[in-house]
Amino acid sequence: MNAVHALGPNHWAACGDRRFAPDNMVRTGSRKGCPAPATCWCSTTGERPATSRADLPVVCGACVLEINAVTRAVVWQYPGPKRTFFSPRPGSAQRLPTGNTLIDEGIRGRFFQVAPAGKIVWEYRSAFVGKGPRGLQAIPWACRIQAVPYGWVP
Amino acid sequence: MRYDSARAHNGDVLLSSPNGKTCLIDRNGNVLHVWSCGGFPARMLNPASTGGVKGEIGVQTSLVAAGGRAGAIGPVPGEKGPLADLTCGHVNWQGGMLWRWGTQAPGGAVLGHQDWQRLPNGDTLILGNRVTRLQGLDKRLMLDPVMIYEVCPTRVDRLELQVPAAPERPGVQRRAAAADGARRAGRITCT
Repeated sequence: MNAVHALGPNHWAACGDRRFAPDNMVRTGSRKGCPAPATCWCSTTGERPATSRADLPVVCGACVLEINAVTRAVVWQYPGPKRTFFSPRPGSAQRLPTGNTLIDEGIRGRFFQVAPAGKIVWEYRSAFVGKGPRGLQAIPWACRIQAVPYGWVP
Repeated sequence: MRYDSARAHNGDVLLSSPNGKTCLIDRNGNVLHVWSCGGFPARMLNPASTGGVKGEIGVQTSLVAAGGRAGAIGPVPGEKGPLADLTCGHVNWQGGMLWRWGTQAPGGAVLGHQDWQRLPNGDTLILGNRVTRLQGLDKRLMLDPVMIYEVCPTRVDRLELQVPAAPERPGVQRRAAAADGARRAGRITCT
């Protein structure tokens, strides 16, 4: 388990599904009987296959999935069939207000923003180098990144 | 560096660098601000949850060598365990400590693991590790991220959940088997 999040107000709770009560939490790790959140974000890494619920045959590479929590259908994913990024452990994905998605290819320190159609509209390679996880040396890794609105900064 | 200003969502990006600092960069890659502590991960707090104060972030406020703590090992046999949070907390734009928590957790360290969240009620949700014993290895302990804490900044009490083990724990079994194999090969020494 490496992620836990309080659901907060969401579509399914508003529809009366008590599994998605705003006080409930979603966490990673699969266990039969546990409900998924209203929209499940899975940032899969190359360390192991993608979530089995998505039935995506990830052999090598990484992908970001948006999954409908009730139907369990993958409603958006990046990249397509061709795996174009890879991070064996750290990484993150964040949906932005414009519909773009900010992705952290953590082990390489490559941050990029993808439009809904899959086009990369912003990309940055971190120059902050230091000892990496698992004893790796001198890599610009970043566990997770966060898009910060201008209004949050003094 | 690639930037389509017409299509990209504009804003800044917060990241913790591997040199133990937290940085705020703009879309052009310029470093706007640096805090002298890292995060796992670092996150900026929504001013709506801080009474309108801008620039407060959550970070690791002190570290402990998790590998040395109670003899715990990392997932790779023989590897020194990583540094983990002894305490985590919130600091302001200038880096001043606002709140921290961790030594009250079981074992005396929060051993945070990759996620936390500031809740609308002001509490902080933290995912932490528990030091657990590996089956089949009498004196080997490892870090298992199964603890969820909800900590109130103004009260002593806390909500503490220990996520029950899944019916199948392939990760633990795999790690235990690997560590056992390494011990037989003489690459690590059980103490």
